[in-house]
Amino acid sequence: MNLENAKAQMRKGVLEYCILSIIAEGDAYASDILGKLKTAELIVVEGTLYPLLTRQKNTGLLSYRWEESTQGPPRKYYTITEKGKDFLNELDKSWGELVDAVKNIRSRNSI
Amino acid sequence: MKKVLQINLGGTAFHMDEDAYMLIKRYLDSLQAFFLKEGDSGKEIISDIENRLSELLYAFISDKKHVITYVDAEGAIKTLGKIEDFEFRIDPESFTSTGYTYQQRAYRKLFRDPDDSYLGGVCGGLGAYFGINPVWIRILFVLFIFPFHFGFFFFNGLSVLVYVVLWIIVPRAVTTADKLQMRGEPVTVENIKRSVKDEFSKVKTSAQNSENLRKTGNVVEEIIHVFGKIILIFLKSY
Repeated sequence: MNLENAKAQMRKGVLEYCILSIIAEGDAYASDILGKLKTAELIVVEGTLYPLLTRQKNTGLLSYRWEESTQGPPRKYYTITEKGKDFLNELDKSWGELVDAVKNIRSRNSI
Repeated sequence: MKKVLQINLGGTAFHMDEDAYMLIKRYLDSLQAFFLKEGDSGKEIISDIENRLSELLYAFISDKKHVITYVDAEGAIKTLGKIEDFEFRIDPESFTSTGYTYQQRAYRKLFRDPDDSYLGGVCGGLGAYFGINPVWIRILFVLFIFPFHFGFFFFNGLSVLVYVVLWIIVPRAVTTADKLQMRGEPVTVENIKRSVKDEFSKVKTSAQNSENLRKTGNVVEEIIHVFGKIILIFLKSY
């Protein structure tokens, strides 16, 4: 397993978790989500978001409505669904467990 | 002075310079290559990206400026990100069994290869498409430049014409996705990353000019070598 793959896998899980989390705080456009990720220093290219958002929507975790815009075509305004909220709760728990486990293991090794 | 096209992108009409249009078209075509495999989900993703592109381009239009230029298009694409930089494009969960085999037997498309070119990369591209060393194709072209006959066969010397026609109609492989398709390699995240690295190191390790000069020397050598062999075969059979 090479480093790029390992990093990519970590990122994917984290990114999906973060996107869900951001939308749970408040309905958002793709560009809003990108902005908040950037503030948190999680750098992604815009193009990465669209597939993730659509897939989460197709799994029923998100829904959207169209909002008119003066700056061009209408935009999708995303909200988290009930199913999405439950999913997020589970992810929170899982994340907590993982972080604790890793801290534990890394502190023992202290390499 | 440039030719301008009227384009509908995401429901908005734009006047675009022809070169801006080509750039955007190439970008969107590469997107198709990835996302159409996902079916309806893929179409949605492409549509979202087109809409966003449209939004970005719209910002470049004003009362004083009515046309989208190449620089505008480049800027918009840069904001969205290059296809190679899109992460997690391939969603394993969305593959049906036919989708999977489609990915393995990647789609091969004829391109001109800018990384292996003396004139227009026609031979490089043909070599990549058929999976043979382009030197052979170059030899064939050179061989048939002049009309000649040999026993029963009479060759018309159409090489130059054929080459020019191909140069005109075959597109140049621009993006890394193009280059992978040219070689028939599946367009995956790993392949793109690997390919981009290869291209970088090629450029770094040799100045293009000196490489081409050396290459020309090599090609001439190889052509003479092959001619020599052909002559030998003749001598032996008579």
